[in-house]
Amino acid sequence: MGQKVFLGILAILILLFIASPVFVVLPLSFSDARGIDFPPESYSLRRFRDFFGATEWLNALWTSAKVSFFAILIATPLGTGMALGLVRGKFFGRKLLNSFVILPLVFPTLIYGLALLFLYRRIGIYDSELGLVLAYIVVGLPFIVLITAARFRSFDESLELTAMSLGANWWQSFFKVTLPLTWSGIAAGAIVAFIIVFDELIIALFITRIQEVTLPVKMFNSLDLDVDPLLAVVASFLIINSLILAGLAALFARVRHE
Amino acid sequence: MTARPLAPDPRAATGRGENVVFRGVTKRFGDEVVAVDTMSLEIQAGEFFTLLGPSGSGKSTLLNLVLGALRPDEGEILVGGEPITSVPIHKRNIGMVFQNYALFPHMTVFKNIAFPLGIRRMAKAEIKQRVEEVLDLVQLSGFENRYPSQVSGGQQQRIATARAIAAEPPLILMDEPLGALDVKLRVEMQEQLRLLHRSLGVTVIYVTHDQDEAMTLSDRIAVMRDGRIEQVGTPREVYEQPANSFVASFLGDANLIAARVVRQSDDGVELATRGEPGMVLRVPSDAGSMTAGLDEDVYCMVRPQRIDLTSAHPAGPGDGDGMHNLLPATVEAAYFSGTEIRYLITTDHGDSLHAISAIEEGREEFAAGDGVIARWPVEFSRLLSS
Repeated sequence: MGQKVFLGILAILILLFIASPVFVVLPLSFSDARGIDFPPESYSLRRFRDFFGATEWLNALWTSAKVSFFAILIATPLGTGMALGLVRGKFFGRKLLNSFVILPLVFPTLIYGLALLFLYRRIGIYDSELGLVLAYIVVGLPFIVLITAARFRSFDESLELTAMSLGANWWQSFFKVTLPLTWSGIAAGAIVAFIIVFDELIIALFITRIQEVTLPVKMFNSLDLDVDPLLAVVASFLIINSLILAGLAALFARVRHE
Repeated sequence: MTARPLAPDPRAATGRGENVVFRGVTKRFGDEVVAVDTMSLEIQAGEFFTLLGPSGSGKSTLLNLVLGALRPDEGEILVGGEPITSVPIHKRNIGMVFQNYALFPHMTVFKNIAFPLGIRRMAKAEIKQRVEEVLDLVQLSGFENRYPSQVSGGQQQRIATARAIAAEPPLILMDEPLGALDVKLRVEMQEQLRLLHRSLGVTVIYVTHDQDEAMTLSDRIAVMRDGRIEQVGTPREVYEQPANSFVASFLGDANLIAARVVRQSDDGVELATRGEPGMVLRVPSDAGSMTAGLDEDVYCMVRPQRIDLTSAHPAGPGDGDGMHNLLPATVEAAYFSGTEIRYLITTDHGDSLHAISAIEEGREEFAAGDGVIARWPVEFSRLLSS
């Protein structure tokens, strides 16, 4: 009993530690002061008004939203197909390929960014939305593959075999049986990948300069001169955004299709 | 679930099934495991054919080869004379019922059964009519709008069967379809399946490890072991004339008495049991697919139900009348089971045998320690290779 209480308290402390930036950033974004003051003396929505009046911040937000959306839009069917192949496929080297999937997760982003910089300059998509989208497809893909593959692995193959024995070809079987029973897993994967891609900084620093500034890059740059109080607003915005999406992903992960 | 006679399907003329031929079919998994070993077999059109064997005997693999979930490494499978090994699953037109039923959980019972019909672009009204027909056939009318999770296990099984027969395939495969049901329900479903098969006239290949189920349902049984067929025959043939000791013990209880061939003649084979002096056992000459040479070590097989126990005669068992085999023995244990008593006895030369005798007026009953004579007609003795 005592042990359980102790573990419970420990878990809460760790969670508080992880979440501590939230307790600093959220109040800061509602501060009425001109500079950074913590804890704030008075509260207002002034900084939010400033943020939504600042064109360059809104542009950065728009760019991030756009490239993340299109990257995930493309990465999701791609990753789903890869996951299906890894789980159901019957080909030589499938096991080896399975372990390759997580490689982008552990591969140093610095090197990846540098490589992309050279490549993009050569083929002329440096500092472009296309360049960002292509890079983020690769960044988001492993998350989608890992999460959807887990869903497919727990999916009863006899359902697919039955559908096919009843006359459905592979595509019909996938769209009428497999997809309706696994879409929530795919959605969870897509959302997680979106969260990851949306606040990616390092690669964006390498492959963009002036034209295409994502929100994380804009935040990073604004640290250069002085600490812009608007940063707190942006941070709050990102936190709330992530919380909502993570909540959605968790919800989808729990969906049972019966 | 009211048992009523099944209305014969008006379109199900008998003989709608197709025959299935295996020609030297081999399936390996990796380098070591040979799941199906150069199998050749012919299943008649309209036959209820059961693949019976312990787990790992290759029966499910064989079924998956017919279904198309697996491809054979060697050999060819023909359905209705057409080779099918290079035909994709969805073009084979084979009904499949899995042990877990594989009902689509996101579809109602109606949509589950309509699935193969919709795929075939049948008209809506026709689909509705056909679904009603097959639901009626499995006695589940009125279940159209339920979801699979809202019906019982036995009902799920019948829905899976209805879905498999909806598009009228000439061949239906069933992989332990009753394995998940409790005993009482299983017996009921066996009867239903038998009647359904008779009214449809399709060919059924049925996989089970349950010998009672196999014997109740089947026209013919193939007993499998290690990827090979040990024997093919009607339930009666494989039970009463098992080809070897594996088949004998897999299909019900079998007493195997080790013996040696001492004399051969037109009216039978004479065996001597182990020990000195060995007791003489007679086996009819046609009782066994094997031809035993003189002095060869063999088994004499007899079913426990055939052994009759009588009190030991003080003068010894004698030679009998030539129509019966006799072995003096001692009762080790007697188990009462309501309708019969099962005895465990040890013969004087050391073999352990089972004997089952029905409880009847005037029949002698024995207790542990009693000396008895085990007695059975020569015609129920089988000669098996050791």
